[in-house]
Amino acid sequence: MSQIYLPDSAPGLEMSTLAPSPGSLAGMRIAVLDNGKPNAGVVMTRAAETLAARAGAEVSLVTKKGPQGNSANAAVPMARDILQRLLDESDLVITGAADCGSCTAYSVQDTIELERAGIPAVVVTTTMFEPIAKTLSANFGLPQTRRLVLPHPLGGTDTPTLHGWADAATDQLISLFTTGS
Amino acid sequence: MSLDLEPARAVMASDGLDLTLVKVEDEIAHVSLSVVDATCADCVLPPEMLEPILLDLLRPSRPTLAGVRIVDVATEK
Repeated sequence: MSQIYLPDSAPGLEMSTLAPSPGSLAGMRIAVLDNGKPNAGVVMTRAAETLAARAGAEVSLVTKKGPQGNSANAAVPMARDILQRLLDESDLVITGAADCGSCTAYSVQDTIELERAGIPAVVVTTTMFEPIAKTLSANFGLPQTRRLVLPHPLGGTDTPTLHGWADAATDQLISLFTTGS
Repeated sequence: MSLDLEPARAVMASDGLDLTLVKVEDEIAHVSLSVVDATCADCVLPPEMLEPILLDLLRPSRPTLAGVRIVDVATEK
């Protein structure tokens, strides 16, 4: 009895690698890509500002992920014009917050798109959603995404506490951007 | 062999979901999702993304588990 195999199949997963990590962050332009989740912009902007002051870099762009940066829907990929601005105006990107199911999926997707375009990108997630970010990173083709894990939840946490978490993350951000881990 | 749902339930609860085990058959866990708090309807992932995540969360308590299938999504309120 002969077996007949179909010659077609679903396309395989496109695996990626991280963009090259800079040896130093001095002079780098850091962008913040905000998906509009509560307090995402607060904690990521503070983290970027603290990192820039420490490393001799600058915060060059803070934007929401929707068209023209005027709005954000956490459950869709970043707008094409925003991707272009990030490519034109930044060397490093901090994005998130990945602190729900769909916003984790699309923040991870945005991160991978930036890495594929040559821009090192850190996705900010929380202790609760880090396992999801890890699984989705592998499922989307870049298991080793640069993930900054903050306490959960971001929404509903007061600003001084968020600033404390952001400031405390500076060493880890430097490591994520310069070594990938 | 037992299956500990709690790690998965804790994560799902953050998105306003609860998780119930329907059965395990041929090492595939069949689970039902209930929407208990729909304040973030957009937060919920589609089943094709959620199933591998649930597998990763459930497998520590049952290493032989081969897959997760979401068989029902119910809205409680």
